[in-house]
Amino acid sequence: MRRRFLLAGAGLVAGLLAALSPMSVASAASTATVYVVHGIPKTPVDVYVDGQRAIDDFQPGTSQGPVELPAGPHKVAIFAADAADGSGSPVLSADADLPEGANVTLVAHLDADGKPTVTPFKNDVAKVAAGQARLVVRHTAAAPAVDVLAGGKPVIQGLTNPNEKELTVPAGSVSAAVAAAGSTDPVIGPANVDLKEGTATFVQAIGSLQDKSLGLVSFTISNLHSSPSGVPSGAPSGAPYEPGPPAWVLVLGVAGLAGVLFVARQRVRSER
Amino acid sequence: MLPTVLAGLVLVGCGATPAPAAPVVPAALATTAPATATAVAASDPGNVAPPARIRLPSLGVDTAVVAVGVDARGEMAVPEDVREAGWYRFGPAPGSAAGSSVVSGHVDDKVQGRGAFYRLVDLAVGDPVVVTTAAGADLAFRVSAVRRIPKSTLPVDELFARDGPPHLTLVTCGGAFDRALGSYRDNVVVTAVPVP
Repeated sequence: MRRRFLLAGAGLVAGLLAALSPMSVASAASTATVYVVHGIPKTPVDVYVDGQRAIDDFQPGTSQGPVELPAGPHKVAIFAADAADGSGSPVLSADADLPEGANVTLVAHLDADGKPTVTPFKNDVAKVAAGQARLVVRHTAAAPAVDVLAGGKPVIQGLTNPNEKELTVPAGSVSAAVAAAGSTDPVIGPANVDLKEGTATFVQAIGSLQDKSLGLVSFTISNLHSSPSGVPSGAPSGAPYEPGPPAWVLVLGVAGLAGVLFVARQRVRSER
Repeated sequence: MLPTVLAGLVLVGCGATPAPAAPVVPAALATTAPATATAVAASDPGNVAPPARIRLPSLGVDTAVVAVGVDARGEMAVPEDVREAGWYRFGPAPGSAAGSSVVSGHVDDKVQGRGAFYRLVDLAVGDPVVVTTAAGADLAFRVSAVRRIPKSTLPVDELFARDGPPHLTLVTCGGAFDRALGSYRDNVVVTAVPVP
């Protein structure tokens, strides 16, 4: 089954090229960051980049990366792991044109009909607001549209293969599950996912619903945190401390009041 | 006479709008076993016991430290109880290998009175700071800088840096109280470095 995918022609990579100007000066050190996800069940593979073996015996349901590759065009070929090295016909092959500074995931997976394919995704590595975490869910499984549940409630709805949706959530542990769209009956999970502050977690749903081989492959990119915008360490009631007047003020005040009363009484008497 | 005295004292105080403390999120096992990708050596708060108390012997301060996050406006959450100090739990814990460990406390409050960090601005360079961790270890620091910075120009990326040399950053409010904003105009920022 020989397939040839021109990733450079894919809409996503075209989008990358638009976002990251290809005309920018490329130094010798210019690179792109690449993650690879293997989501095709029961098929360990070897991955070759430009004729060199990059990943040996890559197991289904796992990810590799990050790998820094020189920016520019690359030939990616995926062979069955037990094939003689680099010989014969690849299971999948693709031409990937990586823009300088790009951060991408190449997912080898089943399409909605169960056929092997490769889909490139741009990884959103923008800074995350203080206290928050980013969750990106990718539907790369042979399954119909799904909802993603957090704590039993849908947070992503109607996600289809091969698409992704992104959420920004308060950092912490969340009980996540995947269910058929419109359902709350999990087909994957629920599983506790620890979304650490200032990170982006990329979750790929993989496998096949029909073959009961659905699963998740995830990886996390750290150091995307932002600083809090300030430190409001003033009075929580909205007004500052107002200590009572010093004792000598009270003494003077009482003495003064007594004096006034005394004078007043004297006047009252004298007016009689 | 009396009103004049009160007005003078008001200007000395420090206050701000309410900042609800964020809930502490327990560490949980990720059954999906996510791989940590970028290998930048920023300190991992998970590797060091969180702070439990802070002492400022030159001011006679000895107060509890609780873990805090951010409030609804994206500012650092500061404990509602002005007698407590809050440690920014998303950044490095005191004793981490790198970065700024931020501990903040209210300067004061009309209802609650003087806060734990009421006299923070009176710290002097060289004064000792001792942080006791939840594991019971005493970590010694020495004040290296005391600054009063307008809130509008607070260098938050410097205060909350998670990389660079390890240090402690103590923050409270200071300067004039802006009645219209319900907030002090300045932050008092004390930097303390580990004593070798």
